[in-house]
Amino acid sequence: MIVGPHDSGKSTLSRILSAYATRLDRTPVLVDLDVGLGMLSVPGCIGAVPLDRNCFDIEVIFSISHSHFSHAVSGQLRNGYSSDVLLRTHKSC
Amino acid sequence: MATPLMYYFGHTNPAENIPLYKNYITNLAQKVDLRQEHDLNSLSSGIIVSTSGWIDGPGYDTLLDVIRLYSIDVVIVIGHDRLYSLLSTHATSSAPASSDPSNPPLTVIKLPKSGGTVYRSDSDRRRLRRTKITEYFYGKRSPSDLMTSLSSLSSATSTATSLQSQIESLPNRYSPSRIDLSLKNYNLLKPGGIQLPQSMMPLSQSMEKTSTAINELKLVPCPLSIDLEHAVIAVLHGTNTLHGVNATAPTLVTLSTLAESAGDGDPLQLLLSTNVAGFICVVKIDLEHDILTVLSPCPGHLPSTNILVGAIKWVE
Repeated sequence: MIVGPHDSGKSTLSRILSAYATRLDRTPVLVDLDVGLGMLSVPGCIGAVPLDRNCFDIEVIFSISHSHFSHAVSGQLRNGYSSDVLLRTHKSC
Repeated sequence: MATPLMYYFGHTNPAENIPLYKNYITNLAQKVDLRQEHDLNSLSSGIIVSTSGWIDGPGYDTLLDVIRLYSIDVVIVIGHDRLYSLLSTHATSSAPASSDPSNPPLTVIKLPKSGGTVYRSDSDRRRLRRTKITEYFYGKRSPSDLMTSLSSLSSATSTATSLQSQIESLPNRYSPSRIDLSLKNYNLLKPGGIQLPQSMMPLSQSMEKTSTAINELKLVPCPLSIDLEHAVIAVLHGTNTLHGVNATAPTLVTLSTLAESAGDGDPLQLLLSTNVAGFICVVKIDLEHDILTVLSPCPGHLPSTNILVGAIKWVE
């Protein structure tokens, strides 16, 4: 957990650590509890995202898909995080 | 690439509704634990938690809650000596005797603030927030898009303002659509119940006794008013989670129906732990016909009929 006052570089440090972790082929979960200006989506929300090697694009500094209406884009792939979907997909692994 | 699990708090400062913030942190911790239970790779890789800059008073108590809820074993404190000493004394004083996996011994590390950090003023922050919401709806312009488009544009002018306008004239990555929502088909909700004045309370009760925590956690229907203009609204996931294409509009699950299906449980608790499917922004309000025109990431029906209003506004 990274704490500190405003503008101390917490988000940057968490990105650096996530980048290191994914390059070492780990899959950490990045939890962003910053309501003011988060990394994952619009301001005013908190969230978590599992990271893997493909999250970091050379072009864009931190490429993470925003939460969108995934059902409308691809009906079958409901990779939202509702808990029963979670259990169904992960029981198979 | 997974879609993030998000909860919409609705304010940019956690102090505005502490019980609601704690509620969402707790829910998020439960979901993260649930995921890690089923995925060994994830469990061995751990979590990285980034917090807000709120460290005084209730902010410090919230940090202690986060440490407990997420079973954190390493805390990195950047550039704040007092916070480091408070957390170190907390770590040594609350060292558990037995090794309990959900309550590991805490290591507190102090880091100096890097010289490269820049102080952001309030107007900088507001601008950054506005940009983030714009990026949500319209997408980021990637450097390669910029390079290919700029090379084809005229290179005669070199002033900063013309370059800015050239960059802004580039096409956006995403095209959001405007859809009309008829409010009789949607549950427009917002956190925070009604604060009754003392004169309206029953004689035996006083305002101090009824804890404001109950009011602030309560999701109540939000009336349609001109205040909703430019509000950023979160669309919650549907309570009936089904696979498959959602071709028809979801039927309105009124709060009373939710109460019946939830049985003894509170229907609002169900909604307080439902994560966000996406965000929409109010563009126009038609008070006569109860219709909201909103900007939505994709056309078609919204994933559910429960939408949560916050205090965040965005003008295009």
